[in-house]
Amino acid sequence: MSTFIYIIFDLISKLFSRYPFVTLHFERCQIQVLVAAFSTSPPMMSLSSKLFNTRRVNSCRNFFLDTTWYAEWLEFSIHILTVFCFQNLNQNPRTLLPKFFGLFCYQCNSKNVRLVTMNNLLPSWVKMHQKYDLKGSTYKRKVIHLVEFKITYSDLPFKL
Amino acid sequence: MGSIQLGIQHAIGGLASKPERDLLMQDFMTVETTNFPSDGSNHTPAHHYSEFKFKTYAPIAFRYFRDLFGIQPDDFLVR
Repeated sequence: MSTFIYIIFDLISKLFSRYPFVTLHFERCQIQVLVAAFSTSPPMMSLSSKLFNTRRVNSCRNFFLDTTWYAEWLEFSIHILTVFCFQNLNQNPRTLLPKFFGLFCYQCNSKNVRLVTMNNLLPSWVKMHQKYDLKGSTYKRKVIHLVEFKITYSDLPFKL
Repeated sequence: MGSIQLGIQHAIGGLASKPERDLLMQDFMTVETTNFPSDGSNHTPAHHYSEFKFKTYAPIAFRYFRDLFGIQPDDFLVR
């Protein structure tokens, strides 16, 4: 079984804790379906108004970050998503879109860890001939053994 | 990490008792919350981690999807 567990801290916590279904919008196709559907519907038109308690509305690709979802809007979106899921997944069980297998949340001492179980994005039968270890900050990091990079290339040797 | 595994095992294991049926709209909205006290309770085993709470989002809907993709519960737990 090749499933990744992505541990996501509070990035998507607000939406996630409110409505689990909203997180499924990671699938690009679903985004397009939703955008197409929402752009013609009245709720989308008034999305940026004060009526909806919208804290951040970016481009149309990721417009529903941190917005308050109202009951009728949610119902509408769930209807679309359910239709999409049933049509797409029932007809194409071997779809190449990301597959989500489960959403969980671990809470301990006011610490929330949210987990998404999904399929392996890189096919496991492909042999990796080069690996790169790319980290965020290079602050206080040094290259110690160059031998190590025969296996995994790090970003620091390229900066030397 | 161990407590997360315990939570997932409990969530997936508890699903086995629920009958297979067609998906309903409300299946996508359900959030199951389970408390895991260290001493154990009627439904949860005792463990040596600190007490935690475990939430499972839309368990029946995701079981349906796992069935659709041909993932057995055992394989899912072993990873």
